[in-house]
Amino acid sequence: MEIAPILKSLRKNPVAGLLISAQIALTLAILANVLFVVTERVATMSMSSGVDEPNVFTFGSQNIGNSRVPVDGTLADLEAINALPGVIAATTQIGVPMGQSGWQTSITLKPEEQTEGPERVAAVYMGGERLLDALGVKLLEGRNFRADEVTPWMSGDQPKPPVVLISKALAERLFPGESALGKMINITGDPGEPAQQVIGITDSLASPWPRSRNPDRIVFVPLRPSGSTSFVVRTEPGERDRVMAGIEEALFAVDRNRIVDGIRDFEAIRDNAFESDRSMAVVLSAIALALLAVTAFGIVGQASFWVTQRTKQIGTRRALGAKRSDILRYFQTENALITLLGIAAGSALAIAVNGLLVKYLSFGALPWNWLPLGALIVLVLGQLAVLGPALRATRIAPAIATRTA
Amino acid sequence: MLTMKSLKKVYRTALVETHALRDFSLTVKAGDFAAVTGPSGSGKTTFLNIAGLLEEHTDGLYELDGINVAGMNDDQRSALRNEKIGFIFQSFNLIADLDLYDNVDVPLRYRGFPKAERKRRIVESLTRVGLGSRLHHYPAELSGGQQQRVAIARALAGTPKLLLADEPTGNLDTVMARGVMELLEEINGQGTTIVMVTHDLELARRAGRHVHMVDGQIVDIAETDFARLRAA
Amino acid sequence: MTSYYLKLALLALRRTPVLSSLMVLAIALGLATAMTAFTVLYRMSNNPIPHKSDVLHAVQLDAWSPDQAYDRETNLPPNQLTHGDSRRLMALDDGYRKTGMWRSRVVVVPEDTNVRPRNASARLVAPDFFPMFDTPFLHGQAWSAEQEASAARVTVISRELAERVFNRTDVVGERIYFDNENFQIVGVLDTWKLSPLFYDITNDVLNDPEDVFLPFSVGTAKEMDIHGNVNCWQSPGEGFKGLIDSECIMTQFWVELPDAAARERYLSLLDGYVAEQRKAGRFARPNNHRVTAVMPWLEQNEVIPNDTRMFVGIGVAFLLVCLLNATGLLLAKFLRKSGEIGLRRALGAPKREVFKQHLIESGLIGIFGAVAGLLLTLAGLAAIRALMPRFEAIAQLDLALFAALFATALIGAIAAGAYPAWRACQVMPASQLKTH
Repeated sequence: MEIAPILKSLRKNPVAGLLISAQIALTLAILANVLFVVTERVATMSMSSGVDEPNVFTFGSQNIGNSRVPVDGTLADLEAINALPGVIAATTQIGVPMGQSGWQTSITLKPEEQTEGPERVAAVYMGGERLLDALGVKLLEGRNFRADEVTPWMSGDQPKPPVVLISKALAERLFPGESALGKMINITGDPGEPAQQVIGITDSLASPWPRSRNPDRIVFVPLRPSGSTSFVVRTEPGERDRVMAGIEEALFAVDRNRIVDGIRDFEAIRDNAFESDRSMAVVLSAIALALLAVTAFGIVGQASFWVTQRTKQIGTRRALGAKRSDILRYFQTENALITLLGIAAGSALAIAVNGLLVKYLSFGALPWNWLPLGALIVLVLGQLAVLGPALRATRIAPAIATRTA
Repeated sequence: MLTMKSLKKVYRTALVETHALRDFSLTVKAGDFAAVTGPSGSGKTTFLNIAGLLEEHTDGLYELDGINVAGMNDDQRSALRNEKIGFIFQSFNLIADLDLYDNVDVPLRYRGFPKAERKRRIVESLTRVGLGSRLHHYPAELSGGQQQRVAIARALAGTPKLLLADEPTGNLDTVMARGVMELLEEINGQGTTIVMVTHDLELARRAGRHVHMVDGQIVDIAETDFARLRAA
Repeated sequence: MTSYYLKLALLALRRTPVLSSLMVLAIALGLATAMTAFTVLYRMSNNPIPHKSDVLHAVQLDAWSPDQAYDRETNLPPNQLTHGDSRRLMALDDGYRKTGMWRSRVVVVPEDTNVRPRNASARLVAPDFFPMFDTPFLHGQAWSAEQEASAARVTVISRELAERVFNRTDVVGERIYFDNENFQIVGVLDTWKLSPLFYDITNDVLNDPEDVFLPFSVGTAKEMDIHGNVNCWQSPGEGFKGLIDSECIMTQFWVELPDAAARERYLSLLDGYVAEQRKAGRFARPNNHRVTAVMPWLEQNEVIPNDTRMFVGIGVAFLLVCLLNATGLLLAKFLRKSGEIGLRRALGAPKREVFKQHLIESGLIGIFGAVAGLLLTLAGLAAIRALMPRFEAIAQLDLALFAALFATALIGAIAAGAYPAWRACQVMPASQLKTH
């Protein structure tokens, strides 16, 4: 309604308004990118592991010296843990989802196929026939390993099993549009005739490196890590903390000559995997809030000054017939115009900033819909910030107009 | 046009009560040119504020153009003010950031006139006060007398029934003051009722009616009657 | 005059406490954010060993797959060496200090059977490691070349480990059990840090140096696990022996080259080594071996996370917003008292003095902002440490940065105040005297 005269008035004294616009522009540019990165990180952090998280924990056990035969010792350990009340399944393992360490390999389907490149990379999960149970991962098709197919594995051994399980995502990648069941694949990383038969396909689960490019491509091999190694245990619901607390004593009961360490529940594993994402999300959110607060303060301060400066003018407008709502709307419109200018500049800036982030820091490209969202936030922020001073302006008595000096 | 009967205005603070108007009665008929004079603190400005609906009275009756304004809410008073009253202030109260055209436009916008209508009225009223050629100048580029003419144009643009002038020549030198006064007389001659508050008795004598205030009350009407007789 | 203006500025601040606090807070918040980010970046891009960063060089060889570059985008050679290449380069009699290495772990078994055994981080190195990386010996010294050659069971341990196991540091000559084998302590290192821990970028560069150092040859003989990246382009043979004789990369290799001539000589030495290895059917790729000094090495391996860089960018942008904010608020503040300024001008204050007076007022706000910003920076760093325990050593206030903080706050606030102060001194002397 009153846009034209407000614009003219702003153009007459542009600096203060432009300072606010510039602030809005920078705020929007930062906000849009920060919001985008934070949401991306939050999405990454809440990625599914495929594991029965509330009931799973892991730990490591190291034998000291050569007091026991590694393979037999591990079997004795497993027997003891699986016999504990509340335990559903336990196994030694190399590689658990989000665990940050493990093996990966390239998979080929023909003897002379190129093996390198990220497209065929899959994580290798070792563990016995109980691994699926110990993680709480479902088998979708085919069958699990039989106990007699599982062989002991010692550090340095090369996995060349006759049978493997693969995750749904890997199955779809290797054999799009057909069943992977019964197919032969080569997981050794060396050229050669595929010698591993796919006997089962598991539900989706994450690789040890959830931030890698294809974190859902997994191949399970029927090898039981033995000697000094890691374990994964899944318990009945609600039993985990009790089992965790007693695990060291249970193992000492089998053999005292060892170190049990790194006992951590799945929440700790997940926290560790996403530590940088979480801290980045927290830090950026804090900055975004501080930024909004500072910008709002700036608007409040500027608007307060304008109200003081224009007391006489406002009284005159009231005397000439302006309603209180007209005064309120004047300040709101003025703020909206300043903000819109900031939004226009800020949108361009946001895209430029994102361009830099993409080019130099390999961040994701800002989807277009974040700009309107950011713009909406700064618009609402501006309107809220100007509300206090504007309401004060509406309370200026029209009789001010007849006061001299 | 303007009827006040036994009007009272009391300002209350925590410590004191000030009676700015006590038992104030005045009637101004359509077409009158009334001057209100009085020393500082006599209640002139309070009278003007109440007459112009800038303040509410405490007690008594006030009818503007036959409408009893008691009990009106702020928006109703604003609308009534906008429609019936034109204001001329001692210090002009022009908005420095707006040119003459936009200054005169201010009350018209609140009236809600369509654009073409506003434009017609702005050009007409600025032409009437002799500034039709300077629509897009800014107030700072004009002399005081010219600025007050702009204020008069702004007051007239909405074709009010009542023009309230608050020391309209107070900030002007003698020559400019005379010009403004002549303009007001001309406007009155064309039918607009004018109530002017001033401390300048000489100026007041030129008005059709002269009301003198002391201590929130009218003290002497005889002199104005005399003046009217003399004018006749 | 300046002290008079300072008094006036203090008065002015006290007269508008809310507006002034908002400005101080804005400057403090902006500074604290930028400074926290800068501290992390600065610490991460720290030169870990300033007096030797030009002479220590990481060695890279390219024995990768004949079919495929190790890094197809940059064509950089692999970031580690095979175990065999490390062994053979260490054996060359070239007169330079050098060491291959890998990280592992030992179980420290106390003699007192009531005390639980504990893990300790270990690194397998040649005796040159100690003078190369300037390790501070509290007691004793490195093992000898002969002990290295004969895989003697000797060790250099950290002060912390000595105190943990023996409750004292003077333990040279004592024996310590690692995994049930008896090692003789030949040296104890005082507490030291390399920030970042540049000699092994496949492990966390924010780690402390290892607690236990053992001869490279001992690690080989005892088949000590590799705690780092093992990266293969073809399957290694069976067992640990198969692994350390494979083409898999798993060791770091550093050499100390005092000058450009030495660098040239060592590179030509590598030419010869590669040529000889080619005869054995290795190194099928074109020559791509190189030596890289510490700082370029850190850069090449992108030790500074992109998140940190983004944090810095956002921090700077935020500081900019805060300064714009301060400019706006100062402008409002100064123009609000145009009356007073007009009066001063009418009483004879020249423009220059009015400008100075207001600049001092902005400077004062800058000082308050810097002090508050310093406190907020400490809080911000504490928050980072709480969020990321790994950053314990990184998120610490630095004295040089502290000074920079103060200067930035002051310059920032004065820059922010310059325009408003200029506007203030444009006020006409007469304009405020007559009523308006």
